[in-house]
Amino acid sequence: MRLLTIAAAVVIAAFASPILAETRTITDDLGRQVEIPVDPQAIASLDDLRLTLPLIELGAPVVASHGRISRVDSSQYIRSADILTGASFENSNIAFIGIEPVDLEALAAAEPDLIFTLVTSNADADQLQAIAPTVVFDEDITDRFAIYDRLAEMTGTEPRLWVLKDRYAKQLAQLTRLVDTESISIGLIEGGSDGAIAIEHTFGSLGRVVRDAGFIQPDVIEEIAPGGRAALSAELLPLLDSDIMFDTYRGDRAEGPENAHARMEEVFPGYCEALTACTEGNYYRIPRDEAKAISYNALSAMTMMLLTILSAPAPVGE
Amino acid sequence: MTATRTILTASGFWLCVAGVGIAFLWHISVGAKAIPLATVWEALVAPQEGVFDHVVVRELRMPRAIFAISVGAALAVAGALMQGVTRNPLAEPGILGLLAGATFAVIIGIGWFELAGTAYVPLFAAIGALVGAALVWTIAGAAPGGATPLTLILSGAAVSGFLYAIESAALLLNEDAFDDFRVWLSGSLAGRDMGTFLWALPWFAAGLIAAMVIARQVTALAMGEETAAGLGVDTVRIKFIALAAVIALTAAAVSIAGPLGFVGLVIPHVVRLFLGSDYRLIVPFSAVVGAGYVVVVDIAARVVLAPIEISTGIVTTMLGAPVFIWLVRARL
Amino acid sequence: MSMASLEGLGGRVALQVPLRALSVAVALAAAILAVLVWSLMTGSYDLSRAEVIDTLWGNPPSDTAGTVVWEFRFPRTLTAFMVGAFLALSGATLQYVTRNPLADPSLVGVSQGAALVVVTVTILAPGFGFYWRPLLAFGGSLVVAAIILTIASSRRGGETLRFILTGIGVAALISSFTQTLLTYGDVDGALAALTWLAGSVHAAGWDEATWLTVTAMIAVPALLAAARPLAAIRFGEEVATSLGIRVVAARRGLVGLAVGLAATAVAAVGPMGFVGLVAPHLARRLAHSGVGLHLVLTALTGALMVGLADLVGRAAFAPVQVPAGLFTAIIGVPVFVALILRTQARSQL
Repeated sequence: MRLLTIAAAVVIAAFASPILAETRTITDDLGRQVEIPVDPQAIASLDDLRLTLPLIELGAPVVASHGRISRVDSSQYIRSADILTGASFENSNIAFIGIEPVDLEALAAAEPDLIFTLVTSNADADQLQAIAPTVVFDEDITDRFAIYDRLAEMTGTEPRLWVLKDRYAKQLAQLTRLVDTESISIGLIEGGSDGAIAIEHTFGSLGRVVRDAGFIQPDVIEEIAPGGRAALSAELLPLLDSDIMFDTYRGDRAEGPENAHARMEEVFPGYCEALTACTEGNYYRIPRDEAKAISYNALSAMTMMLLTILSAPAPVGE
Repeated sequence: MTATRTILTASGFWLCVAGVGIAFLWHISVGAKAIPLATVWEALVAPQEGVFDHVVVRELRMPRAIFAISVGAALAVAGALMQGVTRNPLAEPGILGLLAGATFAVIIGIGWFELAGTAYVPLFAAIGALVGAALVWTIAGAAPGGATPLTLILSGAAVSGFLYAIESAALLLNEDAFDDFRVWLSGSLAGRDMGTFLWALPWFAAGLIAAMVIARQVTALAMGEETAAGLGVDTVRIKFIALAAVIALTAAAVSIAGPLGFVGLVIPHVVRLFLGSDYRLIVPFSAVVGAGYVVVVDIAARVVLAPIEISTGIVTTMLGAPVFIWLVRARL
Repeated sequence: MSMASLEGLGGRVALQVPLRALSVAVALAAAILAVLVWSLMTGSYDLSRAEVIDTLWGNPPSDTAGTVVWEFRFPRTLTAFMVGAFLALSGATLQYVTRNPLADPSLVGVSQGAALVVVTVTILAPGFGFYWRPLLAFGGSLVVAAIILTIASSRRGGETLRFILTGIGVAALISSFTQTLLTYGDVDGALAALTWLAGSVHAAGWDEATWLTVTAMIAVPALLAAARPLAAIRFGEEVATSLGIRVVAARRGLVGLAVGLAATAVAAVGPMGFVGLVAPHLARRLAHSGVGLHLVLTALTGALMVGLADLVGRAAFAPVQVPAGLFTAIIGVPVFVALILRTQARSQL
């Protein structure tokens, strides 16, 4: 009887599998040929910020994700995804599989049919592959928004991505229609740290909007290689001065604008006096999660923020 | 000591002080922004409100140069005392676990009790240095043969490694903290704040004065315990004061800049090379030469790979470790 | 120490069997087996005892169960045991050769060499480091060990002292380069590197288990065969020479063996501190014995330490994974201090 059941199961499996798991082959950033399901139903992500957040926005079926443990209340959370999409480990079906390095068994227990990871993760691709098809991204090869596009393509959520891109294009068009972006300069910094000022060629979503909308940016930022970051010496602070400036603080650590201010004050006592943007009240401090995330929700929020600040009847810079 | 000798050493001392002065001026005249020497001078003697270059010189470069001077002096004197009292040519705060202890305590203090920029940072560092030293001596003393120079060094390496492992654990389980601490952990003078320096200053001064006061007895101790006792030195008391001074100096240095390895090893050896074994000379000269050394190292840390800046502590180790190896080869 | 004497041939041959040491060895082996079983039964993936046993007999309840038990738990636990044994043996050998109870594999620059190479690649070329990590770590270990041995052995006299101190100096120098990368490299890469630096068995699979086994089959018999020169060297150069041991050659061979063992272990799991320092002392504390048996006890103690540290590290706070290396440090060192204080009066080595 038992033998018969097994035989039946084997026969069914043999016929059912081509239908159940239709696959295609892709090449990932490590040059591995991976056979992935055409229509994945259970996706696991090994990086909350750069993979899980886009997947959630795309509406892809995420079942497991790496996360972090909050410094404020020791809860587990998905960086930036919590505040930008509302999704958390508690209110979704996403299982927490640990901080870096993730718990492979917890990952296996979530029974994923597709795993996304980054080269900077410590998990071994062959071991992940033993659980489910694994795609490895390398940010040096595929930039962050390009990873977003590839995630949509691999999870069959491209229609959603087109909607998001359309929305962003329309918001951007509105911004450039109402604001003379090409005559306004924006200096965007991540914040002060260890005697220097952290800047990036394109700092997350805010950097992307600033770039896409055609604002003028300081030369020291334009000189950084695309995708790169730099620590600018405090002595060169005036090089960042612009019509308006943005600085960030850690909202996820319950920080506020005063923390961003304190960090800059540590780097350069009296920094405000050295920046016309600051003396004229055009130095804004905003939460880092929203500014830095690679997210269409963040792009939307940042576009709206710029519009609010700049589309007054007498715009800044005139 | 003959009169000529005294005059020679005194003039040598003031020459060294002048050297530090020149290094100081050099330090505040180089940086990411090119500021003409005349402007730097003007910023020093006749600063004007609201002139950006003056602010850079006075608010950014000068504090950093002053931090470098005090950290260098503190660590060099601490190293000199340790070498003298323990009669161990390889003793210094880094090798014998004091830097690791102080660093660990400050990390815990800032991480758990949110001490950043408060009066308690040097106190925590001092407690940490004391515990580190106690651990190292206990382990070494328990090893067969007792606290020989070799077992002390091995025990120092083990204790430092142990504390580093716990720090890594804390940083790994709280990944955000890693980004906050990694520069400080490597021993950096960049972006340190004046508040902590002012709180560290009394510790620094107390340590330095104590070192000067006991310098004569340390000279006797360095010749051997019996010799010192024969000369009427209360060895236990002097050792106790020396330990307190070393801990105060280490705590001051770590609170200002994090761990700067090998400064305490290299400088006293250089000084002894020229001055022999009189600690009444070694202590002040170590302070001055150490100050000049760290100022110059800090210039190198900023200039060599500019615009990238390396932590001063990394550079002192890169320069000091080969000296250590050379000492081992030359002396053993 | 209890000894049972077997007298034969009219009392002319007395064979002494260290009963206590042997029973400790058996007990340690049993404990290792218990950890293996416990480890196979424990994990975030829910499997009942019966299911694990079924899986081991080749009837996994699901493919995933088979993967979890056979691809994750089994090779990982074996790797932990072997790494522990290797580091412990390496430490014991170095303690004998240098005649210093505080010697440890980090003295020969193995951890620092591996760390520099792996951190460099992880931060500067993460895609490349992904597959080549073990090989790079192994290469880095050997190069730095070779540098230390070259610098230390270029002159005569006071060899062990200079050897130990040179090791410390070179290690500090190499670590400063590693520190530069960790401090100024991309933060994600640096964090990944830091995880590896903490010494974690989490990524170990059959590849690691296999080449560790191969190394064990070559190195461990070689080391046990060297028990006689080891025993002689610990009494000093003169004694060893008078016993007909070519001290310099023996010392080089033994240090080479210690380097090889530690380098293999570090290549598999990253630098795992303090096992090499603590395990030999723990083993000696458990039972006094001759050098050969002491090496066996040391290997078993090391295996048990790392096996247990890995089990606790992956299960205690799951799904948060605590690297085994942190446990071996945080628990190992206090135990070591307590131990060395209690044996203070007793002369060792």
